[in-house]
Amino acid sequence: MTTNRIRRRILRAAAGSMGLGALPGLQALRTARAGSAAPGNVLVCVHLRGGNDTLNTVVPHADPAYRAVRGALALPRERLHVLDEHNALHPALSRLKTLWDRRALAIVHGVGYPDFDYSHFQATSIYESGDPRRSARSGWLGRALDVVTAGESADDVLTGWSSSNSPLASLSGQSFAAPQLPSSAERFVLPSWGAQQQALRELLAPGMSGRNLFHDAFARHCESALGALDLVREAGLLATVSQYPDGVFADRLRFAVQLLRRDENVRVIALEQGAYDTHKNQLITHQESLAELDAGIGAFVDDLVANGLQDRVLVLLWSEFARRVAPNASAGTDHGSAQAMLLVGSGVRGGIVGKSPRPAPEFLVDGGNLPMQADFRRLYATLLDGWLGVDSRVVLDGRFAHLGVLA
Amino acid sequence: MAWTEADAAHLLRRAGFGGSLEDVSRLHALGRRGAVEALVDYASTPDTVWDDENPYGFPDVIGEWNGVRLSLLYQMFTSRRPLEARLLWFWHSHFTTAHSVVGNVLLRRQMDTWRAHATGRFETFLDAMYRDGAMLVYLNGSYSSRVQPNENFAREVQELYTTGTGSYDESDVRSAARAFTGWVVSWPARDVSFDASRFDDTPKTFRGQTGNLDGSDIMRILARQPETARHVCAKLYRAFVSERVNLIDVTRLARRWHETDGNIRAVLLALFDLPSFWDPRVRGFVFKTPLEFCFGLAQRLGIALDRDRMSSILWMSAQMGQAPFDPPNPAGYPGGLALTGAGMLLARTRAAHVLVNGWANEDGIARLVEGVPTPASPATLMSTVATRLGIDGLEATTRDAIAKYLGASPVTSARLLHAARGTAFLLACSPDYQVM
Repeated sequence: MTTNRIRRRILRAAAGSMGLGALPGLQALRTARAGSAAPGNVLVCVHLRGGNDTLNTVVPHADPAYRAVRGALALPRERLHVLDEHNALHPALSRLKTLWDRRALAIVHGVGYPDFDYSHFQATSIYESGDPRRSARSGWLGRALDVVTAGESADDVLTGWSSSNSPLASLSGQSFAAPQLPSSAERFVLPSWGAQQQALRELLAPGMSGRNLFHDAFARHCESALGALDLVREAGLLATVSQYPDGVFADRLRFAVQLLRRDENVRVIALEQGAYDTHKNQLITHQESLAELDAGIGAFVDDLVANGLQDRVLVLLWSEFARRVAPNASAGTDHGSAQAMLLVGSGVRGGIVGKSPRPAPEFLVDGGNLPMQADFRRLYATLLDGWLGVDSRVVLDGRFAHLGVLA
Repeated sequence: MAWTEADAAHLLRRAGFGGSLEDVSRLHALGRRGAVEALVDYASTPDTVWDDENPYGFPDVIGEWNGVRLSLLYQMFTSRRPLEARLLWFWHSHFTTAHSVVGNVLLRRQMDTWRAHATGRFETFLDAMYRDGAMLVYLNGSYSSRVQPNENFAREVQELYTTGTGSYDESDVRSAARAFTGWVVSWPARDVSFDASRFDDTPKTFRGQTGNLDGSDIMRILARQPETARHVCAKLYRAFVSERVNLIDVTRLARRWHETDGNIRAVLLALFDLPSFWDPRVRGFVFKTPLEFCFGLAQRLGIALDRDRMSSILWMSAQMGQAPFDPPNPAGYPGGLALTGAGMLLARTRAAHVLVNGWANEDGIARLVEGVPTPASPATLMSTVATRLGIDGLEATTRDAIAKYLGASPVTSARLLHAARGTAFLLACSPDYQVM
């Protein structure tokens, strides 16, 4: 069965049972795509796993309450990278500071949603689905990809993909099955079974059996795997000149640039990074995660520049929540709420959106947390409409005012 | 109700990792009730595999980075008590901790705790878990004190281990965190002790009960919440019966839970007595985990797993989406649909290649076609191998692809083993083998 026929069958099967309460039909998706203004732009979304302590990522260095409340977890003033009179970056973020100086870093303070959820899993799911009411069963990027690929062509196979240990829910859509890739091309291969490879390929392209959800998922993902095999192999052959640090996150970023060079159809990439659930010994563990992030993003940007891709690619750094302002007994912090999200790329309007957080107790809400300043869907809408060229109303089931983060 | 070899094979796939064809025959000979009781009341089956904590003979099993992970996998794979091995994996996936965080010593001790409670009373199990060294380290209970209690365990024990979300609020999390204070894991002995000076001994209110509550009080309250029975029973149902949770069946299991004061053995006996557990029409809704995939093939093909091969299984399982004893977060391993990503499905084909085309010896392959007269019809060959691998019925698309591979002419005795191996490999890669 061809790609198109499978897609249509999945769409029919999915109609009425997936997505937001009132999801538009295929016709609306096509219309939304026809309105797209900026083809070719790429959005890379990096989930900082565990809940990033953004109060120690973008520090309100001039506020005396910061040191008073954070105590031993307050970062030493002399090592901070000062951005302006209110904001400074964590000492580990030297590459991001360089990007700030080039006006290629935007920081949005106080991103959240009403009625906060402090569970890792629920909160992650809200940001992945783009639906704080918890009724969407697809991901916001998946729905955007449904729009982007609505013309249905076999070239679309890598239009959106994740490189992760398991598929990321943000990419799950109705019609487009986003491949989940490993950290390098050599791990995305069929076994070398000599002359019998063809039998294996035929076996793995079974089409939709309709027997049950697992057979359907198997068919979708095998199809996308087979479709991506050649592209991935060829991308893996491209030499990388930029110096990446060691580690799986840097491997995934290097692989991302190889695929961007090989395949112009790539539009959305979802990654995850770090261990930000710093309930304990936060100074060390947070430093390690941020250092890995900073070195990886720095090398990634170098690589994009070396290949002339820098104007097409924008990176969003998000987490499921920030952390409680006051430390706990284990020199760590517990789950918090509103966070700073960061955007990297020459397409951003470098600067700060929103007010620097005020950690003094009188400004805190909900048992010691920073208040929300902007609904996260405003940022999503900005990126959908202004960067990906996808009508945000289709993806987010509503209209959200844009934030001034794009150049 | 009839009781066939296919039923026995089904039972052993769920209450174990599949076993060999001989294991299936032995189980079949016991009759349905006898088979279930033999599996559930496994203490009566002699098994020495747990006596030796270093079955691979590492010079220093604790000093070896993966020493304990490999030893535990070996013990689960070779145990003569299939359900005990399978339950250890289940409880490890439930009361999750990660080897990369807690290390060898605490992981081994936690496995002993799981083994002691795997079919016992859930409340007693919970009471042991909050004071377990690995759990105290993994969810930061160790050194949490009354000054600013750590909330990590207090939240996850409710969301993941007992009631699930929806029945508590943030004040319950904060109260429980205070009640769990005082516990310390020493270094480097990693002994667990209670330090009363760190404990918050002021009154707390948790889920409507007020008093000077401690960790055991919280666990007792949580064990008795009706949501706990439903949450844990639904999880057992998804792991052992079907990802499509049948609420009537879960209610039946929860009722048994309440009748027996949360006795896990009684709930398991009820689970293996559900008509839906046996109904062939509702099979295929469990997506095999990487370990179920690898161990199932290895047991059925008579593959011995030495240290190097077990290391490969550790690595291949991670490629397939689950790194054994190193889950990504406190919710445990991604399962079901989350294991069907493109990269993970390709990893399954590579694992099948390693196991079937690499490790299985001639005897193991010969058992798949024993008694098949040659020259064999391709259709007979295919259906025999499928049945003996434990696949109940083949999709037309799988049959077509393998028929094309085998060709139209009968398979001669000279080609029989080669054809059987190729068929087994393709079947192991097929969608039909990924579910059970």
